[in-house]
Amino acid sequence: MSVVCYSDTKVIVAEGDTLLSALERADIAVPNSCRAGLCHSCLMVAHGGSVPAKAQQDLTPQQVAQNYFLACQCYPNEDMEVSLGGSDRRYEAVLIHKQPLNEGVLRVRLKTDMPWFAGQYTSVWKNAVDGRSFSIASLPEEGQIEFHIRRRPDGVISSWLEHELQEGDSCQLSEARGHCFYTRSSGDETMLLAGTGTGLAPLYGVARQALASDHHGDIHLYAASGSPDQLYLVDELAELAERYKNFHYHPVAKRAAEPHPRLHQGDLVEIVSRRHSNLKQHRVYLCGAPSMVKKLQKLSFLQGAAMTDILVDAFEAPA
Amino acid sequence: MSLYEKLGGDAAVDAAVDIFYRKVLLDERICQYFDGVDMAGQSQKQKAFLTMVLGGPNSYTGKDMREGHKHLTGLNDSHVDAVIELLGETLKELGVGDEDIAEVAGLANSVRDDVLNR
Repeated sequence: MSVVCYSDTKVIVAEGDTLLSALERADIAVPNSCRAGLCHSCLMVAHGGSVPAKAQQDLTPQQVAQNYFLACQCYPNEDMEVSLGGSDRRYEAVLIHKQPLNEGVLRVRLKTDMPWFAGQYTSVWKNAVDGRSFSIASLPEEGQIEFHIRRRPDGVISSWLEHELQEGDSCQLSEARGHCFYTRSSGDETMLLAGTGTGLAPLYGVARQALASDHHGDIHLYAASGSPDQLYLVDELAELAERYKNFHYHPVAKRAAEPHPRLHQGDLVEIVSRRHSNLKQHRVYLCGAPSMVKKLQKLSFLQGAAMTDILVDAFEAPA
Repeated sequence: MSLYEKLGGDAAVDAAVDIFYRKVLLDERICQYFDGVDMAGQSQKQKAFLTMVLGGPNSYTGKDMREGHKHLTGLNDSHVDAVIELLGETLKELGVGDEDIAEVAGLANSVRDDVLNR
């Protein structure tokens, strides 16, 4: 147990609890979004006590030197004195369009001045404190941010986006982050993209960015879901595959009532690692369920992809 | 000239880390300690370690090595031996001579007590 001093309030943090949860229970508002150490919304500064290494893992050396840390990754092991980091820059965005893509996924488009790369993620803020992170499916030259949002009736942000925020209304976005985007080297290497659920969003962005950048190596996109009706953008991706002969779309369903031409049935990890057994000189992008991402990251590496050529973005659809 | 420079510096160490890390993940004596860890982060740590034992620019401290391993239960000399053996195999694949490998193994051996927290 540690005692953390925030402004004039003393908060007790139990063993195994994060500082973020403890502060929330004490009704102290800390902006937060992914709660997984990725979005950096809950950046704080320590003025006393030592910061656990895990809470600074992904920060810059400059931030570490100034005692910045992430509250969601902070399991205090001694008493601390802290304040908000406050450097999370927000951008204004206007809702342009929203459309259900199927039962489970909502497409949302926003206009903003924020710079981004297709495949990065950002947080959408309903107010100063409540935000959620989503991956970006659109290209900067398209002029609009596109998200694929998991529709949840009880979702703090997803339900607000679907039912409350109207076209023309504005909201705020955080600076785009993450390394999961296309960079051109030779343009010849084979690209392997695999995602589950709305993990398709960043991959859809990365694949189209590669094609727009005249990538001429083969691009294999695997989009997986539980059953065939949970797949989305199936027609768009099939059309893309018809238009570009180096782009290959592979829908995958864990279970399917009946066999379907062009649909792979079974486990994504098993299918991808079997069909792409030699990944030397490949660029691999893995997005979606953490268990899938971890397994395929390891297999891709063992099957010859260089560690620096495997780009991952593991996330659970947040409540 | 350090072995680090002879091999080709930073980019060469990246290639060496990939070879070394694959061996580690497939080695039944030690792979249990690497399962489920953040791979990109682990790869960076191995790069720092390889840079150090190859005589490249590094900021190695025994404290990091101690902190980084003390939560691993059951870690003993046989695991350190396995790592040094795989390191030797990696360098052999990269065309490094026996004499240089022995020197690298010596440097790797010098952190044994830090790794085993004694």
